[in-house]
Amino acid sequence: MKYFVLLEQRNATLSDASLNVWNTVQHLATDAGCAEVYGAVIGDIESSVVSSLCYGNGQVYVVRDKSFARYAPSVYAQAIAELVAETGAEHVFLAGTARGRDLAPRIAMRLGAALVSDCALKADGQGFLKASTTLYAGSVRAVAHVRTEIAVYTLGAQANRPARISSNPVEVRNADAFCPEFSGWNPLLEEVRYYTARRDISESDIIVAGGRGVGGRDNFVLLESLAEALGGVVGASRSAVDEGWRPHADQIGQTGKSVAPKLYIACGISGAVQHLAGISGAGIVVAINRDREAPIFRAADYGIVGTIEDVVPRLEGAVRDFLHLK
Amino acid sequence: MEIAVCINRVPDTGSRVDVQDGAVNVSALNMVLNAYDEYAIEESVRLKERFSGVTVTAFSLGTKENYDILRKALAMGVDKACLIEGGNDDDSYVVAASLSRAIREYYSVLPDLVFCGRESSDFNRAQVPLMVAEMLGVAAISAVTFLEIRGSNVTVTRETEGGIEEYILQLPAVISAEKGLNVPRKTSIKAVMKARKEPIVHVDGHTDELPRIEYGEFSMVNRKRNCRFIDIVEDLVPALLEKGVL
Repeated sequence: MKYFVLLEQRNATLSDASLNVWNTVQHLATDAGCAEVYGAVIGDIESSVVSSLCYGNGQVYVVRDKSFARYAPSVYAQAIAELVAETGAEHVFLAGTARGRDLAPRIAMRLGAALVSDCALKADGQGFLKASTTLYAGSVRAVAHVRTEIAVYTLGAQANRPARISSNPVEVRNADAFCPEFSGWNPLLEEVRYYTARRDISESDIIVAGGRGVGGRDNFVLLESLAEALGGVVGASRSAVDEGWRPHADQIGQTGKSVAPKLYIACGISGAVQHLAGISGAGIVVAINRDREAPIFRAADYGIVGTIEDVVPRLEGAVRDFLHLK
Repeated sequence: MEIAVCINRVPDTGSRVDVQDGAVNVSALNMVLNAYDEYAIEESVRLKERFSGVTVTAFSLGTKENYDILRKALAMGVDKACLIEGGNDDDSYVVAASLSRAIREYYSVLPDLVFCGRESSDFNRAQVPLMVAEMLGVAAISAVTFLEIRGSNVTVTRETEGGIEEYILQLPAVISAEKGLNVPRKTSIKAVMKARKEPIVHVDGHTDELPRIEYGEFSMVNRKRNCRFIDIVEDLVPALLEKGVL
């Protein structure tokens, strides 16, 4: 069996999400007794950066060409499909990021492969993979039986980030020859505008999220302040977004983002199943709610009953005191 | 300009799903129009209202049970509604094959725009729109939060980790709609009554394609954690420290 990981390049480095996939696949390969792991990264990145980030067994192809400076989904998908075919890999893995979810169906179609989205994987001793995923708003777990020779997987985030498997840097190879003709520009990424001085909720280890119980847009200042003390970011439930208190990009849950922080603090969030589906990968969940009977407490590791105005500043004070002493 | 909107019937996200004897019991579910598809319908109807000569046709794969969501699309303002017969609606690949076949059958030349919702709220795979685009051989962008037509091009934006991406596409194209693209209109009683009388065209979507994935070994997900209540707020800090998350 051969595995193939698509690594995501951003600002001339590799994204954490795709490095987590790389490390996960390295562990799978060991469990499966699979000797060959390939990786590929497309875009403007130095080989030395790749070899400083990717450890384990295998080879990573770096495909650099000025035509890849801007993301053109169809061109990227074609290059990846050709590289996968060249290596003869049967299993292709991507991170379940915005770009991963956009590229995966295009790659699967070009490879005639099944696509298993947002899954968790286990390997048996023969290199075969068992992919489990959830259906019906995250309420039912199911095993996806792949009926094709090649399969593409997008992996959901997990709070337990997989460790690098060894201290051996991988072999990095130039694969510029795999740049396809840039005739099919359609569609083409024109511009990326990154939010300044703000981490994305899907990439943060600590999230302080607020729901309707926060009481209003202004009270989110309390959450911002706690998040700042913790080195985290602020997220929101659907109700808070629908109220217009927070932007859609901050929404966590089934109709927003799935997140997997190490620490998730839910403030004034009742705990609807759709919200819980979006935090199933979270490490420790803390719930702060006025209502002791709120469903969120049944999905939390720690609960504090009280109002946001009272509890959140006190918690922030305790965190700052602790960090000050440290 | 011809616009196709692909819509899907899904369980109401509030309804409870049960696994019985190793199978998902779907009989008790309340079925509704997929929420993401409402953004797709709304955007196409807005284009129709802004430009002259736009015809919007809604497509849904399934049985006559899908008439209810097709009528909702009509009440929201689409011009025509088509039920696509045939196909397996569990496998994204087979669904995409049926949709693309029906679109090719229905139109003599490909429509300028095919709108879909970002994903269906039951399986959340977000695969079908991009697979349809690959099958039709046209450009596609997924999870779009802003759209503007400029001549034969369309400019769209989508949210990515930590930012916003702006794309240009040449029509024809497939666009999947993300929450935030617009605020779908409420349907008036008059529009709902009128939609009831509209004819629904049946289009053949049978395909020889086989499912690429079969799901099995169903089980209910248990999200329960043992909650330890903390009475004194400050005590949470040492507890988190012990768990290694601070």
